[in-house]
Amino acid sequence: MKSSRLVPWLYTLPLFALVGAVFAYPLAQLVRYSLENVGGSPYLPTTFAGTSNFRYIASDSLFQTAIKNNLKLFLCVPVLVAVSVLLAALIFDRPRGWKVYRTVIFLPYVLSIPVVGVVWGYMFRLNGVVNSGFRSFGLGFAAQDWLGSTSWALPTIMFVIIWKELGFGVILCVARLTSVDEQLFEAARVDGARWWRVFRHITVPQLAPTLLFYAIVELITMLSWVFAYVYVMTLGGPQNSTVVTEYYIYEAVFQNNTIGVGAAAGVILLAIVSVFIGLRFWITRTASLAFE
Amino acid sequence: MNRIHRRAIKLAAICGTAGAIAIGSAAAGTSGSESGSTASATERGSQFDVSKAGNVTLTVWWLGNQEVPGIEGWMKQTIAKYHALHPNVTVKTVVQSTDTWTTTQKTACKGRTGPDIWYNWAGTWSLEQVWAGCTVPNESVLSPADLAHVKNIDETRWGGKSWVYPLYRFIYPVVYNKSLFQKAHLNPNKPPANWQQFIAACKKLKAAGITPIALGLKDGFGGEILGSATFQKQLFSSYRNLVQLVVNGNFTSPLWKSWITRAAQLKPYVNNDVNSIAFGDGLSRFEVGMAAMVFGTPGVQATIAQMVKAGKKVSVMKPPVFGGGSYANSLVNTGNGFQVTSWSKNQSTAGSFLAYMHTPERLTALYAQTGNFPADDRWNPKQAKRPTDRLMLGWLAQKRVYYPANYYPTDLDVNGNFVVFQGLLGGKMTVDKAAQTYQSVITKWRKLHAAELQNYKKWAG
Repeated sequence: MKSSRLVPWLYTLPLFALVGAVFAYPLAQLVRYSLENVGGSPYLPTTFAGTSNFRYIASDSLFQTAIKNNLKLFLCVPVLVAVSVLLAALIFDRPRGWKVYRTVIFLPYVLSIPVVGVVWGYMFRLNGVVNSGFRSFGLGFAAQDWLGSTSWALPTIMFVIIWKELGFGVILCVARLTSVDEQLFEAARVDGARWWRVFRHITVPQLAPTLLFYAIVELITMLSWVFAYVYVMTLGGPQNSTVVTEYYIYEAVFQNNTIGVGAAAGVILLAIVSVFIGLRFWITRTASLAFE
Repeated sequence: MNRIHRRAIKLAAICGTAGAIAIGSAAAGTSGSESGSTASATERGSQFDVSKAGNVTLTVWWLGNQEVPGIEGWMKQTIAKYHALHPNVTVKTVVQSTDTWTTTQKTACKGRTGPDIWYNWAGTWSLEQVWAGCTVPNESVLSPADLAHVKNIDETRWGGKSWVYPLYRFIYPVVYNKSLFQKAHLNPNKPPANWQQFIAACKKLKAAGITPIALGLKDGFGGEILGSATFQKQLFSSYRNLVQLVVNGNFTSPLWKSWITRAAQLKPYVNNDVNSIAFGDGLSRFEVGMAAMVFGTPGVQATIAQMVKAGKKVSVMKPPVFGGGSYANSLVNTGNGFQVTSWSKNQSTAGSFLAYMHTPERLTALYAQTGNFPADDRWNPKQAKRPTDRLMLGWLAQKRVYYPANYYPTDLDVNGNFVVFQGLLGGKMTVDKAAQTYQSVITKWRKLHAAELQNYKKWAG
């Protein structure tokens, strides 16, 4: 009897081992490094650092800038959500050529970030296509050094992120709308509701769980998936004005040889992202319960 | 030169322990190599009997044409010739990306796996790998005769050993367009020699509607190259002082600020989009005649050759002098080359291959195929016929001055030079703020790198 209870655990052991190797071991290593001055040679010995790496990043102005920039990137999320739902509603009305619009909107999402970054990087130069366009329309005053000035570089990256990530939100919303009972919309229209009223009282409420899910995913993206944009478009510059937490980690580990500091920043980033991941699971669970 | 040699000897005496470790690890590395026998000093590098090694495959990681256009063809030829001499040895090369190069090296080193030989820049870039235990000293894989001909090994001398075997030299002149100088009524055959003359020339060029200097700072390297090769070197007569500055100096001192003040004066004379274009883009603008001057960069000889071929009249000058250090009036050079990794099982053969790259025939071919100056006195400089090359070789022969950025931590480069130049020339950063930026970076660095700081102390002697 006792041995039969152990059998299922025995069967699941390989899976536990796999999960342990893939996730637990790297995580444990990350935490270990965060508590060490990592060296590994007679010239640079590894020593226990306690919490000094965490105390260091807490006082490091560059890390504070990085965190602030991640928080500023959060501003992309309401924009993404609002524009996604609006465009999805317009496409769901199936105007002429709606399939083309849908494809065009989704296209940036499937492009690789380096490609997007390089192309927009060229376009946003001081003497690039965007400013040339402004100048040729007599709007020279609007021309800015988009990626070369400390005040414009981050908003410009935010614009590119929104441009790229929008397609995902639109497709999510359109997919959800197609599963909503058509009678709801019909009934509203029969009752004399115009487009805006239908949008406000039917479309948006029906999309609420999807939008929440999308918002959480995008918040996670703004925290831990923006490295490539920054690396390709600005390398954290000018004057470190676009450094985000991921870039800070990269710089600490690979440029400045402070693996412990990078790991400590990684632990903090992981902790914040974990909260959002938990939130995402909770929302998914709550939404599915609501549907049941 | 003598000063550096003396420093090396003194360092060797002071760093007895470190030296012993280095020798120990080198010996361990060699004894575990191909034949299992320990190679004596006379059996290393060119003296090593490769036939003893058995069948060996050497892997080389490097940056190929990204660093020196045309060098991949030369390497292919070198490998073929070496294989013809030593059929038991096969050499495989892997071109890595410059952008991720240090990352790739650190990852390989952490896993103790990777190539037998890798490319590296001199100074700190190489020493950071040394301190992480990734490479062995030249002395354990090359013979004294192999080393005696390569003066640039002094640039990466630490703990009584040299740690990179330079193949070619990067040089950093100011390149100027003679036609545009003429257009601005400047004497194209008498370029500005000191700072006042340089600024006066910039004013005249600007007044003539010509962009005086083309520069791109987006990727930061422009800040490093300009700051290091043009400005910072002028403060010193020995880089031991620069290393000492890293150890416990003050970067807000009037001396350090003296070069920042000059650098800030360039702002009206560089293109207005410095922060939105990369260093290479600035160079391209100069090449097509959109600016009168450009601060030289690795591969500058190839740029000049192309421009001359296209019918442009270009020449070179030394960076304009303002400083009081004996390095002020000089042309900076840095020797880049190869290191043998500490985990390689073929260290002796690797040393033999490195030595083969330095045979006179290969050095002649290197200059012929790339235009870069070999870092070896077995190369005959008379091979250089281009007037600009002859000028630069003359300056290099006068004084051997290395690249200052090779003597301080990468952090000071990335968060110091990169940031400061973006701020000074593309933003609104003041001289005081720039100096504080350097000080703040070095203060943080000292706090975080206690063990590395000890290595710098040894370096400073």
